[in-house]
Amino acid sequence: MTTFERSEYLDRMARAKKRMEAVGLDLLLVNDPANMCYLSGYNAWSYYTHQVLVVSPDSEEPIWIGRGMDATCGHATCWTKHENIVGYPDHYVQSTERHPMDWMSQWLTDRGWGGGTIGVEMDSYFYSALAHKRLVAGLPNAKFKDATGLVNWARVVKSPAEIALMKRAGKLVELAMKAAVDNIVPGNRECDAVGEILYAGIKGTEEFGGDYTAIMPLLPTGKGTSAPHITWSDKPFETGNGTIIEIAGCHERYHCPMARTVYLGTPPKDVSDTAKVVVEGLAAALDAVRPGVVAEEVEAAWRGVIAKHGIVKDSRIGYSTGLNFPPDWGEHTVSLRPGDRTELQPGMTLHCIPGVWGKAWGIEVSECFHVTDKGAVPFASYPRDLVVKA
Amino acid sequence: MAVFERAEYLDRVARVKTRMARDGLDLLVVTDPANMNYLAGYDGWSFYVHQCLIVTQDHAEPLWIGRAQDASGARITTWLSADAVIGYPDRYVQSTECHPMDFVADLLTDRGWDKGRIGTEQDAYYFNAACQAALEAGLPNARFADATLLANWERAVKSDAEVAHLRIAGKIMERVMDAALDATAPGARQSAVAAAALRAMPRGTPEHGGEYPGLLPPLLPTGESSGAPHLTWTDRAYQRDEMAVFELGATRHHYHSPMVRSAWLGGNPPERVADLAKIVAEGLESALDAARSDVAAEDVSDAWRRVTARHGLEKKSRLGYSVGLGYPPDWGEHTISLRAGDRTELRPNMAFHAIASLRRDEVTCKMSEAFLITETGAETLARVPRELFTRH
Repeated sequence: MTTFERSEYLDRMARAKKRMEAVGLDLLLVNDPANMCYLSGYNAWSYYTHQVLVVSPDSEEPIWIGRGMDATCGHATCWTKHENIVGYPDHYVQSTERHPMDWMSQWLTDRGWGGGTIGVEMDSYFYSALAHKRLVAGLPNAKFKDATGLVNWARVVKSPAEIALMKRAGKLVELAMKAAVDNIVPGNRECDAVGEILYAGIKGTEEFGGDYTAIMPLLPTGKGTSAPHITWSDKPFETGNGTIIEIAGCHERYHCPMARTVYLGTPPKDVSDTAKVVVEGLAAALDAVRPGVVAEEVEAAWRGVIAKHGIVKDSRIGYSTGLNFPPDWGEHTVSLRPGDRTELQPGMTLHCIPGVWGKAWGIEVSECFHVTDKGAVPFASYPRDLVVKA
Repeated sequence: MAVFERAEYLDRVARVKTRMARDGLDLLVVTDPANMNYLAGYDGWSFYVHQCLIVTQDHAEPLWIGRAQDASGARITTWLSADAVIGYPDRYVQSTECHPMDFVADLLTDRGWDKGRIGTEQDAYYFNAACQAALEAGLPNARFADATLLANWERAVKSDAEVAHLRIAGKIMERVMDAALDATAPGARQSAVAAAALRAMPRGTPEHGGEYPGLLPPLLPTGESSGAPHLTWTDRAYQRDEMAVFELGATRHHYHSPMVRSAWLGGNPPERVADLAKIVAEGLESALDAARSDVAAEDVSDAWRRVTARHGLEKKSRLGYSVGLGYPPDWGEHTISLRAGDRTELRPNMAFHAIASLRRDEVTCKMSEAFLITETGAETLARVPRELFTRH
């Protein structure tokens, strides 16, 4: 059973093929798990072994090639015919003698796709240096071209069906954030709070449950708030410390991320003042969002507010998000940062996550929203102010 | 604060340098997050941007190179001195104009490390084709060699301190599996079972918390799809008279004790299914009996295969693999496999995950154990009855 209608997948394929044509590709080998899922529906935890999705103008459907034992996952989740799910034998898995790309090169050659210009996602997470080397060696008649981002850019504007899933993710992150705030109390261990966050976000509502998020809950606390990607420990929360909560809700692989900051006890004045500035800056950034505005103008609105309060900081404050798998829920396309001139369009979905860090503390507050004709509409509703728990 | 004593890290680095010398490497670029943790202690969810350790023969400590905003995380979690932690500017992040490995190449050149033979982990997760291309372009005087698994092999035999973490992970697994089984019943949503298991993973025991496993989501193939091993879950409700499989991970400081169990839902299993489960359990037990110091890895899978062959059944994929430290997307170490042809000799303090799985009449039954090789045999890390459960 697939998440979307067949017609939606066909439309995605058509747009990917159009982009291929524009850059002169005869064949595209998709390796990014989110791009594979976007085009085929494939959804399984199997990208720790090599797998690709083959997109050719000669074939209406994409062809999934992966480990033989995962072909069943392909049958269960892809919209394609069974013949377009192809498995390689298990002795290619983590072997020092043979590589899955050797098998795939042979398969492509047999299919008559061993020549021409082939696009590969050189900078995607799981397209290893060796995978590329073996593919190049196995297809001596082909020319290779970097196609990193090609499918990612086709994902930027969401369909109504995708927006509906992100609205569900928005409900889930509200539940998860409530669990986080409820469980960050003096004496409770960080790992206990994480357990409750995961539970609430996945248990979900009466109507629907959640999926695993592409980034695990990040809970930098105390001095660690200056280290944004620390996950958690089993130490208890302590009064007199702030904790940044960066989490997401996820439904059928679509994410709604959210960040809030909690302080246990009475926050020092610089912490509470900065929190107000960040909230004001976030509101200004969201207000700047409308179709036709370019990405960097959203960042400029934020920067204008913090400059008024004497804070100078050039940085990325957001990015495009939606469908994803670990290790990232960002789409690696649009960034809300100086220099990004991408025009915002209705249906784009972004996570705006500005932050300000002192030496021993940090404040982050965020919203994930979609661009509509009326401006930015957040997927979730949760108070933005610094949460102070006495 | 790093998890292990400084002396243990120094020993790990020294062993890696010995392997480097043997393979004729002057410098090693380590990108596998588990290898980075093993050698430096580094722990953070930052492997979605490029980062690495540099190990050289003429420098006692490895260098950590990563995104500038993660340098503070490196100072908190590693044993490295402050000047061994180097951050690259944010403009290198997900840019179409420059690559973080350009920065690494420039840094190596500045230090005079741009000549000689450089090892890269060419088949490691996250070290992608663009990384290698950027290093080759930036270091024209260097020769490159594939050093995939060089550090992984040093991880195969665990120290006693690592074994202590594995045993704690086993204790956490007992609670994780309990939580999953408790939440399972006909009518329960799969997502509710996933939620219960994921809550138990970080919560751990009252004494010790856990982290996120390398195979991050619980894998819950069910019913018709019980043979699709890497499906996660949906909102579908469990049905009566179907098989539910649970493949779960538990970790302590990122050391893993994975486990698979199966449950028949809604009543007692049909005789053919109960019989299949007995064969799976018998085969797994005979593999565990065969696992001891000095036997070869394939002797363990042979013991399993002899049992299944007697019943006319076969598992096509390998029986198991070496486990320990791991980050998403995998908890396997990619070194030793319990499969025909792997002649690696088992040694005390190696750890494995053996997954016994058989399919008959469209039903898959699966059970596994994570175990440690001791002086006297195999010690399972978690104690959960090795049987087909039933949930009503």
